[in-house]
Amino acid sequence: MGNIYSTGSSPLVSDDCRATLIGFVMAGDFDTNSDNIDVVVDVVHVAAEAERADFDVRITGQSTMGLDNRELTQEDLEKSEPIGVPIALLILIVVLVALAIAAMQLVMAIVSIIVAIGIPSLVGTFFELSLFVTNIITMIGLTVGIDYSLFVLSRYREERSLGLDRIDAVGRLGLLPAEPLFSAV
Amino acid sequence: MTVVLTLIGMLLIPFNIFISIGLGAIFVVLGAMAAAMTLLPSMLILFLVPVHFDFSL
Repeated sequence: MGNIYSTGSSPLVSDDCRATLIGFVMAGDFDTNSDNIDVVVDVVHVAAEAERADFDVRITGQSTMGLDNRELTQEDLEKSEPIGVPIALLILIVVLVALAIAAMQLVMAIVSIIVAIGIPSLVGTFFELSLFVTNIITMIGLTVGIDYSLFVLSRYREERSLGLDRIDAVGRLGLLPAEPLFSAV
Repeated sequence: MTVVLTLIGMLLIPFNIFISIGLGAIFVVLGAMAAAMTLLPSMLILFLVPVHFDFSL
């Protein structure tokens, strides 16, 4: 802890003498600090509330920003999913003219998102991953899951329109005309 | 597969954010690919899917 009263060094006070900086160093490395910072932020917020009439208390720093980043990422994720999924469903219904198919595409997207969210938790034990990984996965998972199932579905419709029944049509998905399918996927 | 190959380029940039985004995107593309190749055909057999639409008015 260093402040103007204990050190007397003027760089800690603003030019108009209305603001001061109180620095402190947290014990441990960045990871443990990131885990502990919410306690510190809570203490500062309580102090800010108590001294609200006289002082405007703020806190910032690397760990504080990390905490804010985490909270914002979480909030954005919670905000974006209820908007993105219904819009995707609506567009799919309009384009495909069938609720069953549109729902199937969304199931595909959600399954690939769930699978892909699981894998980084394994990788994360060896390698530090950024928080953005969940945002990226939901974003790309929704698009790519819908996209790839559209490819497969158009191939299926192609085979069905040749007069094959369901099982034969699915069996033929992997045959020669499907080769561009795999490379496209 | 092409998408995965291009995303490997993202792993070359030595910043944590780029590597994370690259890895996450690779996993999700692989997952979507596997699901499109296995889960979707089985769902197509299980559920009735309309095939023909008459778009002429």
